[in-house]
Amino acid sequence: MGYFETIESKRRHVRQYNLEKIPTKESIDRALYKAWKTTPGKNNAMPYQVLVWGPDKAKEKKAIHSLVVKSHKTVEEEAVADARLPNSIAQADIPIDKNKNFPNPFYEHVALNPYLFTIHSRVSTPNRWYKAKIKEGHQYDQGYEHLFEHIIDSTAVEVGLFASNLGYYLLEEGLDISYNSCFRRRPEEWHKVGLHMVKTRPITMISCGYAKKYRYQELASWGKLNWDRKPDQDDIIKWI
Amino acid sequence: MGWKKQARTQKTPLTTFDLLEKRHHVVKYIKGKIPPKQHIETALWKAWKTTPSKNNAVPYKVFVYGPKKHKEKELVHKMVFENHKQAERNAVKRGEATKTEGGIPNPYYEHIKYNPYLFCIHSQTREPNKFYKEAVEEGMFFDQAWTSQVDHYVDTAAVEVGMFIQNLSTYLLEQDIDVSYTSCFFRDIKKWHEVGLKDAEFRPIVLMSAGYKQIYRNEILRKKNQLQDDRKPEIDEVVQWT
Repeated sequence: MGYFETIESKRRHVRQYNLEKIPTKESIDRALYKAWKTTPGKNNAMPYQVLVWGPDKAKEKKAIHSLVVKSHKTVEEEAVADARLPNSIAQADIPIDKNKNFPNPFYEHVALNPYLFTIHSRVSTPNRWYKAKIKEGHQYDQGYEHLFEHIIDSTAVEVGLFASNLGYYLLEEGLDISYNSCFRRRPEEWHKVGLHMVKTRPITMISCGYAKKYRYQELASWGKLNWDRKPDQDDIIKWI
Repeated sequence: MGWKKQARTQKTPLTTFDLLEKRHHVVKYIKGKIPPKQHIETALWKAWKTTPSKNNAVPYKVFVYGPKKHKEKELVHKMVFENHKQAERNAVKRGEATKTEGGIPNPYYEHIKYNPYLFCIHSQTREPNKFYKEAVEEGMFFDQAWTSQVDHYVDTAAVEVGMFIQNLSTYLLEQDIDVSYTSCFFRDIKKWHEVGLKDAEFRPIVLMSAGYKQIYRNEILRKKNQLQDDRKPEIDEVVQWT
């Protein structure tokens, strides 16, 4: 099966993983190695770090999930408070029996999975070639923690390249994956829930395992599968 | 044709890993050898089809500059070059460096000016689809719809743009078309508008070129016996099991 067919036919957001069936560590290591080997980076710096939370890290994953739910709630509250935006209510304000979307059930893959990857900013050290270039005046902005936010767009593009490669190699191993971008960015908030090993700001997260149920199956059972479409190609791509 | 000859001439499809291992930064594309537009369109369609996005929003827009857009590519290149100079001056001001490279043009940016195709990917606001319209009515915040939020969620948009260009690159490499990237350019969209590049409404996120390579950067480094000096960090520095 080719690259397109693999992604098109196999990648679906996971609603629930089969927690009885754990992928081997070897298959995860293999995919991580391939992603590291084939992902390019500006100045060969790779200014990010991938933390892998394995099957024994249930408590930590629950704590990470709490930061996801907190982020979702805070973002909605901030939108209500922002006078420039029309939002007047947050999902958490609606009684739980009338709102099946809070806490968002599609975040559960972050708490309950065999493997979770959280990707964070990292201070890089220039290699020999760039050390010589720096002496000539070349700027190596990946070497400074105080520049994390300044270069976050560039770092996040590279994280996207890595996440895409990792996702594909995991699919090749017969595994399912899901992504999440909703979480608290400040490491201090991770420390508050006991995740002291996290030193720098997170950029994205990916869960992995064997799916028990996909999100699209849930949407289909609600009769809403055709409601959730991406914008048409013509909205995304413009030839000049 | 005998089976031995067939075996010799038959191309074995590369695995995706092998294909991506062959990707290298292009210093110069072959002038005058233009990949068919259809190949580019197929790769763009596949990338659009297979790249996931939070809330199915796809909060970015891909502007494609084709083979005849020399003037526009020169303008983009100028903004890359000027940004590089400014970034170095700022580093000196902040005390991270003691000098700049003195305004010498970086030859590894030339792929932005001389290429058959250039993709400039910018942020873009989006309206929610039917599913998310209902969620918005229940209090969900669809941040991709608001101009005021573009910079706030740029990390999320940029991760998705990275996924898009990885997919696009793979589909182009499958057709023997080379690709290169750059992250060095002015972020302020006003500067793009000032030089006449008025198609995009919002800030750029990444630039990518495509064509048939004449020379890779690693070939130059190899000739200078410097290839082994320019290595990525070891996997243990990047991946850590908790």
